[in-house]
Amino acid sequence: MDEMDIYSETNGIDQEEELFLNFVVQGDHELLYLDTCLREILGR
Amino acid sequence: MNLKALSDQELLNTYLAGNESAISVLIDRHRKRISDYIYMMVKSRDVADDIFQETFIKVIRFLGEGRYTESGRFLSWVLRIAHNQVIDHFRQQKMQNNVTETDAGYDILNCRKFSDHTIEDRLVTEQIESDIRKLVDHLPEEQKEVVMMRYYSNLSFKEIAEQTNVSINTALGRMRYALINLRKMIQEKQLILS
Repeated sequence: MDEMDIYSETNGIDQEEELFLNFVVQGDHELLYLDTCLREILGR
Repeated sequence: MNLKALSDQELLNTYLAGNESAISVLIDRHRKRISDYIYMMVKSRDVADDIFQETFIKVIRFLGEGRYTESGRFLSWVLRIAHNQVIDHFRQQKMQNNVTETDAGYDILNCRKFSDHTIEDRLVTEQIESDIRKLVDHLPEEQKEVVMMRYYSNLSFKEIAEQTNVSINTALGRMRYALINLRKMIQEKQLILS
């Protein structure tokens, strides 16, 4: 799948979250939790 | 007041000051991530919806009791409550069927059971933050770069791809490997994230 396919599949404000869920998390809830913690810890 | 423009903490303060609409905005803001998290564990939309509702009933109750003390870490606090709700769900199932503890996702990332937080806990939290920053430094350079851009600079994957001259797929892949490596390091060092 090329990049345009990825972006065209996911429109709107949740686009980044969709990309993240589909291509980074891939159903692994631990990674989602880890990302959330990192975002809150490091994003200050 | 434009509630949507407020930060999580500002929304919480507004809610605790008596504006009930603020909690709705906060729930809507994080609805997707929380419901996706629950769904990934239970693999059923109906069950996930129920647990989502139960989670926010608890969140509202805990807020009312003054049990939220983690300024700036609202979403991970809610995810831990959701996680514990899922564990309770699996426990109930286990009594009725045969669900293993692995299925139930026990001890996920050394996530401890939700409890009240004390000053001591805050010191622990500060130590966790320091440890996490050190772990990020140990990532391969290209993964560290994506992590820094996502978390410190709050860039989108599209922006990260543009700034690092790679495809979006590559930026996403690096992020995935960064998280997998961080998880491995956290487990090896037996760090507790929450």
